[in-house]
Amino acid sequence: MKHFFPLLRNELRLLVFSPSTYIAAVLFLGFMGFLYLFILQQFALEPRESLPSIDFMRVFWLPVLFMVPLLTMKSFAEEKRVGTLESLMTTPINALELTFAKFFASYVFYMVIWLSCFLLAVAAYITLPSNSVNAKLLDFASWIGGYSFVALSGLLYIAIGILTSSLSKSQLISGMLCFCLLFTLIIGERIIMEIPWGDGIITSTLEKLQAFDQLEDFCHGIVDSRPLVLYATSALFTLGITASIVDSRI
Amino acid sequence: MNSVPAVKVDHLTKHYGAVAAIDGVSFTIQAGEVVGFLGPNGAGKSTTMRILAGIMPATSGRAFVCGTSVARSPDVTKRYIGYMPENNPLPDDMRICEYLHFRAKIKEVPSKYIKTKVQEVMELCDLHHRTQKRIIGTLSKGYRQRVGIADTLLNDPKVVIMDEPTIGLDPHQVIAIRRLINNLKGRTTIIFSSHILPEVEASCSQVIIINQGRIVAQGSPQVLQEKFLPFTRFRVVTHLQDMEKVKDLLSKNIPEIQLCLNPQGEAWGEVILETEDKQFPAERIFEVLRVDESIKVLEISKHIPTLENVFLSATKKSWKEKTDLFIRANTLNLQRNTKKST
Repeated sequence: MKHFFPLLRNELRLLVFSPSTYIAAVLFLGFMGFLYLFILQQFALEPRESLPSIDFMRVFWLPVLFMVPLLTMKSFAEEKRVGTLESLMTTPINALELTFAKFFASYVFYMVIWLSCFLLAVAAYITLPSNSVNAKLLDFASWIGGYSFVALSGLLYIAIGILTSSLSKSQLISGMLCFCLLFTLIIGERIIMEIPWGDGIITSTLEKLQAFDQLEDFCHGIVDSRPLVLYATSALFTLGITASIVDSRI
Repeated sequence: MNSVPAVKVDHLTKHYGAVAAIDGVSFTIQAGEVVGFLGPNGAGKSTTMRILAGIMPATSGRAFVCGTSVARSPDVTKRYIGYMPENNPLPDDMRICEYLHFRAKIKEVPSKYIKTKVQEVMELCDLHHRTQKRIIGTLSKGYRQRVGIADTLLNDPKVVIMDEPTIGLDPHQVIAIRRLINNLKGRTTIIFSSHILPEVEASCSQVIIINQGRIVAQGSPQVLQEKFLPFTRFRVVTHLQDMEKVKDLLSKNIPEIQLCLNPQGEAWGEVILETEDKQFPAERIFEVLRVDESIKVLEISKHIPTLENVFLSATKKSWKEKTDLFIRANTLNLQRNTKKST
């Protein structure tokens, strides 16, 4: 993996100069800003049991569906279209190093954009008058729990984005494919749960895979090792497939 | 002297489904040679180069770079090779020096030498001074090709492979690239494909002509000329009304030559003389034509065959062989089908 860091630096540089990164960031932050404002308004209107940060994190899936494709669709698809992937693969680097570099670059941006959402809470804390609700805005435990889940699930979501980018030369097709896969994974699971499967192994397995339930657990301080293993291994598996696709389809 | 050939290709075959892009290609290139790879579009030049560069596996056959198998140890052979793909894809949003620094890093140039090495290749390719800070997307085609060539030289490769390095360049840029290749002569083994035949003739010590996935000719330009155009040709330009007289005179007095009339417009035409005698003296033509004073000869010249003639002759021959085979196979099929139906 000795080529990993030069490749990672190059990928980060490419993301910094890519317009789709900024489109993703602006769309995400704009949307999350409005959402946070809406949540605060709801809190102002009536008393609620949960914290604003937990309510805010519960809609994680909505920005993920748009931000992940925008961040990752360019990674392999554009290099394939332009032909730079071919000249990159004539150097002593291997496909796994390249895949990991692209993955980590997108993951870093994904987390930076998510972490910047915390500024919304800080801004609200500073601007709103001090009272009992205001104190709950910066409830660090729930924020850390929520962000832990976002960081963990992001491993798989970004890996899926990188995989779909390696399947096509078109950024648009890669982006759409990524959106469909993420939608199936996050929302589809919930829809499948609506089917009466009985009390067997299927139901218990599907319950374990529910991203929404895992988020609730993390936000309430319950850190289970199963989602940790699930997301880490599935991300590694997805990246392994991506590397073999890149190797065989230059 | 190092006896290991720089490149050795042995019965290399690549199939795309049922189509054979290359079929049993074999050749050997010694260290320090400059080799031109010629062939019409779709002949299999790029496929062969891509297999050598280690980015595409062959269906069968073996390829060695500096004695190391490309299929078994691509990581090793990639360290020996500097490869410039066709159309030279480059990232448009990087500066030249940034790009070359990045490439030097991933090509494992030791950190302390990267700056010196990048400067060296930029100077060699005339990319230093103000050009080095320019963004690649704003460069002309010629400069982009130079960046591509500079990149191939970064790791001091033992073998440089360039796929159509002069494609789309204007004559000035072609000359600059040729000068660059000549600068590298002897320092490294160079394999490049080109459609510009004088270019290959000027730079290469060996030429490989590939057509329909097979090598149809291989050797130095001189050897190929002797093999594919084993005759001497003269051209006599005269007035149209004198052409028949010239032909009669020459065929009567020099019976060993073959003649062909080639009228050019309304006023004049040319008589082409062809002989297998390489030492045939042009004076004999003068002597024969001097006999009839009414004949006005405008020009007598010896036709020197170019690589273009060799290329046309070699590829035409292979086309003809393939077509003959195809016709023969079709006729046999037809006969077999007729027999079956009766």
